[in-house]
Amino acid sequence: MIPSALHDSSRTPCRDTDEWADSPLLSSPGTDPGTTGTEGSEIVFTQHNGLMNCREFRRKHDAYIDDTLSGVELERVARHRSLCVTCARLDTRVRRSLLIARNLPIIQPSPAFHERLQTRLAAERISIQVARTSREQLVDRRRPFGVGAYAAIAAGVLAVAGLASAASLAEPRRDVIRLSPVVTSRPEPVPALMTTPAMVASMPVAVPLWPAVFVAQQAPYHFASDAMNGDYLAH
Amino acid sequence: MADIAMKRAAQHGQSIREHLREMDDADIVTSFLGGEERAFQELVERYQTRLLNFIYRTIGDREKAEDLVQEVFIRVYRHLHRFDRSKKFSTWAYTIASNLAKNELRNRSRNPLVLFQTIKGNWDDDDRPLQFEDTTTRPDDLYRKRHLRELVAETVAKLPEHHRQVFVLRELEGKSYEEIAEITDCNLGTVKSRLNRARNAFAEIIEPWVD
Repeated sequence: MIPSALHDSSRTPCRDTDEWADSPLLSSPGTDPGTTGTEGSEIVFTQHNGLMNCREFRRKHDAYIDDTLSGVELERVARHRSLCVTCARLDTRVRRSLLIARNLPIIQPSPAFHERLQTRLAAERISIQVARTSREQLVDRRRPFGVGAYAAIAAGVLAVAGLASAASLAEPRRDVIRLSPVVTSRPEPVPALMTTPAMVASMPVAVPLWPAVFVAQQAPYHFASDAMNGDYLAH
Repeated sequence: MADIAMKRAAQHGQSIREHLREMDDADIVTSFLGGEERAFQELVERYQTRLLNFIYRTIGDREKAEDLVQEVFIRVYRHLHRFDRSKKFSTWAYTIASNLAKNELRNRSRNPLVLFQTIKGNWDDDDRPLQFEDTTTRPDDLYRKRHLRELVAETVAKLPEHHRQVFVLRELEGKSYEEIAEITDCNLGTVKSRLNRARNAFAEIIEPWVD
């Protein structure tokens, strides 16, 4: 029988209709306040009445089996288990199968195991020893001098470095002369006079003076100035 | 510290072997790294059966399982100086065993072999090898035990590889979730979900045979 409560959207659907049909839920209305459903003898697991639904039961089932749930949770799970036939069946099935698995006889290593292992370990010991010896020989070959010679060289280098640092410390300290900062700037260009003797001298005799002055005023100022002060006069 | 304890034990007339037996794994490792070769034997004695059962239940082949356990100990011997002593030795050993078992299953899937167990069931009566009577146990008990053992082994073998490892480590080796996560190199959530699936699958497969 499918309880009508299942179709209520406010309740968490915890099983499909087949499962509901398959597992009639038990109840005891008088003894279990908050679990009595509206459908007479059936219990409705809602979020509001504090009862766990099947989905939550399954989610917490591993912790229930491992006995790692808190007291309150343990009680809720146990309560659901006592009310829900399907979940009770699942719990029994898993517990029983685990009991069988956990009581599986333990196999022991064969009598030859220890002997074989000892042989292999002895071989491993030798190979480690050989590897270590060859590594040491390789290092010796790379070192042309002995450890004492290296120590002497290192001591010498340290002594020289010490002397050098002592000498540098012994030199008198010179004060650093700080100069005041120099500010440089470009001088402003001096406007050239149109009536310089050079200009006057460069004019042909027959040309009247006024148009020449007019042309000079029209020309770029810097050009005239540079030409007159620089290259032109140099030539 | 382990060396000092060993010397003290020797002074008090306690045999070194007895003393090693009382030490925890971390101290035994320290003692071995300090040059006490007998400490390694103690590690072998502590872990050989556990590792054998773990690998056997993961790969389902006893002889191969013994070979792999030997390989685990060789690797431990070779690399013990690199072992991070802030971690648990057992987790490290199980990690090596788990990796070897995984490699074995991978190789087997590449080169599939017909296992003895699979052809055993199809023998005719004439071809079946002789089996001697065991008088120590009642036949029905023996049958039931053997049957159940084979059944569980077969059921475990039917689980997917990653579910199987988690299941064996938890249910048969009694490892904590955290240790399983470290051994299998998965996060805790993955371990939990795999274990949940493995438990349900195992229960489902074995149920018809148990009732």
